[in-house]
Amino acid sequence: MDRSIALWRTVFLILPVSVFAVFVIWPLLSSFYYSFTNWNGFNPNYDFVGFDNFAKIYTDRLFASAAINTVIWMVAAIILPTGLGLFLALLIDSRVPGGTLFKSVFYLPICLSAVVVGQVWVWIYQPDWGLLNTVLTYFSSEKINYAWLAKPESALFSVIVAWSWQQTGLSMVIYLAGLTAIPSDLQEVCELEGSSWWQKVRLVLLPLLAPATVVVIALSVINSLKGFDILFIMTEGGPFNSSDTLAMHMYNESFRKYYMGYGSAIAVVLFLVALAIIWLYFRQLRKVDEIYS
Amino acid sequence: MSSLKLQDVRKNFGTQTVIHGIDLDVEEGEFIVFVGPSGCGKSTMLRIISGLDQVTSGRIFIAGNDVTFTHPSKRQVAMVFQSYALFPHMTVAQNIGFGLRLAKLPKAEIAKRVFAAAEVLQIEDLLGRYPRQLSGGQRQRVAIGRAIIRNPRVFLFDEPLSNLDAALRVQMRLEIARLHNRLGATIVYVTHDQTEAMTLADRIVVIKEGEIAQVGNPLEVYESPANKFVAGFIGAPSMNFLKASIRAEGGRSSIQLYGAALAYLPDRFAREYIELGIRPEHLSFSESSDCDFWGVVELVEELGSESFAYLQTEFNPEPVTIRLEPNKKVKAGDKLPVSIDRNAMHVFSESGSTVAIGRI
Amino acid sequence: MKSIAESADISASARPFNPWPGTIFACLSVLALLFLAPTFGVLMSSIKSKREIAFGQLWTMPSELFLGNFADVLSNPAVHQYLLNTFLVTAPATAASITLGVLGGYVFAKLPFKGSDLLFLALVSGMFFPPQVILIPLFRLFNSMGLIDTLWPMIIVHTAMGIPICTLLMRNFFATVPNPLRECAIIEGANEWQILVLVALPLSLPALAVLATLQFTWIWNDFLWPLIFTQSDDKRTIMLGLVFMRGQYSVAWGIQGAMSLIASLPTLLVFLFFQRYFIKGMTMGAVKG
Ligand SMILES: Nc1ncnc2c1ncn2[C@@H]1O[C@H](COP(=O)(O)OP(=O)(O)O)[C@@H](O)[C@H]1O
Ligand SMILES: [Mg+2]
Repeated sequence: MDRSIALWRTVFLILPVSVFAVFVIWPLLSSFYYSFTNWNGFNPNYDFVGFDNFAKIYTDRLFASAAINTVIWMVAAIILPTGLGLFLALLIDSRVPGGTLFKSVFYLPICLSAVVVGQVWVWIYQPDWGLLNTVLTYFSSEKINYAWLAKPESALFSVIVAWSWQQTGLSMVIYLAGLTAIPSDLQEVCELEGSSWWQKVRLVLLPLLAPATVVVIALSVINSLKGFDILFIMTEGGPFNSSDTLAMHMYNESFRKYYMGYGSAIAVVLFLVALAIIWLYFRQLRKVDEIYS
Repeated sequence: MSSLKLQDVRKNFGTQTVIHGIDLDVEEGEFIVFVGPSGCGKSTMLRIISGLDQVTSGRIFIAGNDVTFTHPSKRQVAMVFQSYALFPHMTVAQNIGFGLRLAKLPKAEIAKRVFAAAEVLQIEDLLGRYPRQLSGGQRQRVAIGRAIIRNPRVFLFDEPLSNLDAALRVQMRLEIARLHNRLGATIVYVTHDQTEAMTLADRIVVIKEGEIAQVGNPLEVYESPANKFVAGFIGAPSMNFLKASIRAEGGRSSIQLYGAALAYLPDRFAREYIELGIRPEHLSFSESSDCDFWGVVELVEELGSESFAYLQTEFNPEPVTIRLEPNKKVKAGDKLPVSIDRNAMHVFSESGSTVAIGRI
Repeated sequence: MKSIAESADISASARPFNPWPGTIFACLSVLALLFLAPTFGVLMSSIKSKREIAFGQLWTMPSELFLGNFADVLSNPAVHQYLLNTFLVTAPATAASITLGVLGGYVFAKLPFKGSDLLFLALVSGMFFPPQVILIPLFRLFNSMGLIDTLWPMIIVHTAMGIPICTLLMRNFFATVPNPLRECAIIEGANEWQILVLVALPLSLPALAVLATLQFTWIWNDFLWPLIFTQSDDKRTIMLGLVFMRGQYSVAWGIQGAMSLIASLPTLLVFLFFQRYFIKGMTMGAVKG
């Protein structure tokens, strides 16, 4: 009996585990390996260069600006989709008519690809006839044709707004799931005790939504680390690398300049950052779980 | 002046009518218990009184004021939920003082009043704990504390003991009765447990499918049930119902149980069939074979303080429950003669309404 | 104070007016319109003629329904090839990742062993890492296998990258299948494979639907892997094709809009018809992750 179970276990696990090991784990470990080489992507031969690639990270101006942009992106990711998603969830949860329809509308962007979302927002930001400038012109005395994506000051933030537009729906549904999990009698106590809407949100709902908040923030931050496609479509990291992120920088160094060794070093840094975030996430989640279970 | 008054209160959920016009006057300081089977609309009644749900029609008055459309927090009521509804992220003190905090009272004032409420319930030591660190009975007390501190005109309890184990339930029942004596507050208490209702209530309101079946003090309801539903619901084990027929004999009618005349109704009775209600304690085994009917013992239940036997009879598909006199020993299979206490018979018409009670 | 008799006569219309539902509804409606505006704009542009757009009417309602853009896009053989390629990647990768997830999830839920939690955690954590961390070694691997510029690397990588979420959701779902069902089947003489196929899977159709919608959407919409693994035009997927065709139709906004719409149509349909499954998968994956 036990032996047959062990056999079935092996039979069932062999495919998923080996596919995952060969095409995810092994490449992950190899990234560490290549980060110590100067492989150029074509030449089958390469040399070990020790910590040179990591030393280069220190002196690489573009890396520094990409890292700063990544941090900006993360902070924005914590504020924008989380805040807006929470706000929408609170409104929809108050049993307005058409709640399901609203939910679908805000959630719709999730099923669109980053390529399409990027393109849509390129149109919105287009200087001459883009929606944003059209609307701004309408409210202003002169014609506005600000090039949102072509100015270093606004490029990164414009992309982040587009990205948040897509992410908000996800935060919203997670918050909605969290709100449904709050027993309705707790909300009724608030009503009986004469709490205002804002008091209810601040003193009861927000604390009880802490687990959802941990998930939403972790997800937003992790997704912001992955944010590549939409950036590639909208600015390709430009102008003058002003909207570069680490993921974008890694791609540029590896697949445009073919510094695959250096690219691997950046990948290793990305991996470590993601690892740290995941670790924080699980720790927070456990802490929150302890309080609310 | 009545403390709480319900006037023709009705409630629909969509097309389904859940409360069919309830009128009730509750005196200041009275302990009223709503009792009825699950789904009969008890919680809905409480929620309407508290304002969490709105009436479809009818009026609600608290201390003479029409509060039908008043916000729940302005009705001077406090509610204790079946689930306790304690905030998991707040300490006991924060839970009890929640309403005062919303009203932006000074911290010192809140602390003082929270402590006073906690003293009443003897939970001063628990003030710093979180709900998850409390036992069921302690949580219950905190929920009551949150109600007390509001100093309401009317307390509303929705099946507050149903999440506790049997022993704790008895203890908390006693404490709620004590609390009522001490505060002298008006209490509307909902339960599906008739024992709780009998022990706690000044007056019992028996509800059946959204309508009041009977209002009265516990003994009235027990001894003179207004109809078969109340008779069957109040009392444990429940009343026996025996099908009987009526035969006209000159100017009067006789009740025929399994072919024998059992009693006479005073005047000519226009029905052919009736149902006889007899509580288990009003049946007894006769010493001689001079009896009302014979029954075969199917099962004996020894509860310690008292014992019941379930009898099979030839005329009733349901077994008949009988309370055994102390020291009376019977065993399954015995065929024994049974007699009925003529002073405690209830006669119900086919529709279930009470026709006559007691000596007939 | 009014006497009771007097006030009881007030009709139910005395109910106080509550302004909040209306306010919230209005607020949500405005936000919903703002949210829809971008998508709606593209939709509108796709049914406008070049002439109309050239007059600066991109964001207004079209004066007439013009289907020329769709005709142009749909008659382009390259688009056919892109769509076919995307389908040839999405269908097998979706099926394969779900199959592997089912196998793994069953073991983790029903046949746990010493260290299985750790293995499970390792598999699931794969969900969180940016794909950049495995980009270069995979490129080198497929290059050495001579598979670059075929559809194979995309199928394989999407299968492998789908294993975490599929295993996670299937394990959580199988955990809700009552153990006595399995034990009963064992007594009847079923082996684990039979239990999985005959007992657990038929109960898991909702979970499979959740995964199918999620995986389909993600793989269909993917951009990074085809960007890395394809070179020639006839191996491109639709999302990559969209980017390259943008150059070709650089100022034909109407055609670009129609292209975007056609590329998004499959996932939009999945969203409309299986929205509940999709949302459930997204939240489950996120919350339990
Ligand atoms: N919000 C609601 N919507 C529809 N039906 C309801 C609602 N609340 C209660 N009901 C129905 O009203 C009836 C009475 O419910 P309730 O008052 O909870 O009964 P109980 O006496 O057990 O407390 C039940 O049949 C229940 O299904
Ligand atoms: Mg109830």
